[in-house]
Amino acid sequence: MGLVLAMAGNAVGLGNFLRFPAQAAQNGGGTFIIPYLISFVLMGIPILWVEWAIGRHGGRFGHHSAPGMLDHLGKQWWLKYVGVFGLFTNLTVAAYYSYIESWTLAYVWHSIKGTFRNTPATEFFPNYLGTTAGSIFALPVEGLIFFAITLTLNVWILSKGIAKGIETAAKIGMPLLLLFAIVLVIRGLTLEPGTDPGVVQSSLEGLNFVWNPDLSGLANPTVWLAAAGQIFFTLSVGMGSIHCYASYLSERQDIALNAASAGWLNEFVEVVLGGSLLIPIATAYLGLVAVQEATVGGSGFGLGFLTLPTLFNNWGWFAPVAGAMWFGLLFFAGITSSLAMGQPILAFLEDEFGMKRKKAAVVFGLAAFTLGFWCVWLYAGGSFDEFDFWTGTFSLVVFALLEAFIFAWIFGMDKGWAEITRGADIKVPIAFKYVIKYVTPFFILAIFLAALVKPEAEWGLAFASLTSGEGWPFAPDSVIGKIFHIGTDYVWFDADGRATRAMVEDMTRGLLVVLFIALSILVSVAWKRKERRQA
Amino acid sequence: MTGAAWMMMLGTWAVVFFFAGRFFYKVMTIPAEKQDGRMEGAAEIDDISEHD
Repeated sequence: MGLVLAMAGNAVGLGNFLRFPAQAAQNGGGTFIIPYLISFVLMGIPILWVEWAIGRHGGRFGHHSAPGMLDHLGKQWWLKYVGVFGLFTNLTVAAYYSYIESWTLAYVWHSIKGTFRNTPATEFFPNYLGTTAGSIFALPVEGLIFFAITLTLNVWILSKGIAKGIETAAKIGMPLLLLFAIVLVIRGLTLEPGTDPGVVQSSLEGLNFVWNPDLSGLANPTVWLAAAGQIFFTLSVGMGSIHCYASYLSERQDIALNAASAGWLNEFVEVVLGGSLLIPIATAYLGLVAVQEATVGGSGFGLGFLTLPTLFNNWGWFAPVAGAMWFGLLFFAGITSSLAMGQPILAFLEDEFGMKRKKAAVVFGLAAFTLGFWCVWLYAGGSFDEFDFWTGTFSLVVFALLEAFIFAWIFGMDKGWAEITRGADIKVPIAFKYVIKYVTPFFILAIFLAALVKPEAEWGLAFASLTSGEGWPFAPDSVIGKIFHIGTDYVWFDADGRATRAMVEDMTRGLLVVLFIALSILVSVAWKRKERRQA
Repeated sequence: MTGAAWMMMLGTWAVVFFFAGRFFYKVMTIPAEKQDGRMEGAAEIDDISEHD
């Protein structure tokens, strides 16, 4: 029970309440739910089992981070380099995720201070992020301070090794968060224009937007990639943090029920509560058109910060308490997740470089601060959205794809199935043995390839264009379209000599590539040291 | 809300409630001594740090 709640606590975070509804809004509302649920059953649950199995297996060899665990799945020299994704995603997501966490902390402070009584959140939040300063290089000082506080707190907790204490506290905090979420859902769904001040549209219009199915969106691979990315993000799979937790389990401890129950509990919070909370409330106060505009093209994390203080403001004397409580609990949910992201980095430095825990925590903190600073400073230039796409979506899918193939085809499904079912407290349906081998990897591969080359027009027209010699019309939101800035006026400096968003995007991608190479070199150095020690 | 939206929402909720409830029930009915064992792994993370 304790471990399930701990894992559910790690999975339940800002993604459930903020990212999921925003992703749904961005990707066609009800259309999103279908690929999302299919992705959960065919990819989410199988990958959860795969990661728990890889983690527990790697733990037997003394490895608590992905490079060492993957290295023990086969004899190929390159397996450990696939594991670099397990360091890269944790570090980069922790960096920008801590920034979002810091927004919740700032909102606790400003709720208590009563800022939102005089300043609407729709005005406060862009100022806080620095998007209204008129320059993409304007540093939002307050945002940086709260980010530094948040990251320092994370590093302190990691260095003290009191993660268990946090998980224990999460057992009290999580039910409180859920209780408060239920209250907000009920209040949000009863908002009506004309009755409640500030409400411009019925919140049920927002709920309708989330759930009304539009089957035409199912043909859009980007929607599938977003759905798969959200499954990976919300379940914390494709990252390496689950591997780390599972590596501390003994050989015969259950992983099948742990993974399934934590995964489904997370879905309950996300689909039932998360899906009924933010979009209906945002629709009520901003209108559906504004909700769509607020989330288009970005991660959409900001929507909750733009709307919820307005809701709380109508609660009279209880407004500051409600604001502080909600954002405080959200901060708590966030920190349990970011700590889980830091743990594999510390484990890597401790296992492979013999670093002491405190030193490893400081190294992690400095790296996360450098990366996070980039997101804070250049938020207006799109650095944050670049992190969210390339590390919070793209990398998760790539890592999950590679580990699914490695587990099923290199480690071998017979050994893999024995690993998943050993000590299981439930009977795992044998069908999943074949799903993990034949469906999950190819399903992820299909989504990945489709998102890579998604055409601007229909697929049939794109093939006609290709065969007629006019080339493949890449969509601007395809992965290749993003890489080459297709559909945008691609210049690094505008007519006045000012840096453009395209420049920040390219620099951000360069930074991420350099980081990945640096982590690969670290892995290479660690293995050479190990070989020297063994020789 | 349209009929299709209601059906979609309630259908999805039913699936989520069923599976979340089912697995949660199984976790709750596992004998106490086995549940204690399940926390050993999480506890070990802290034990390791205390040795530093």
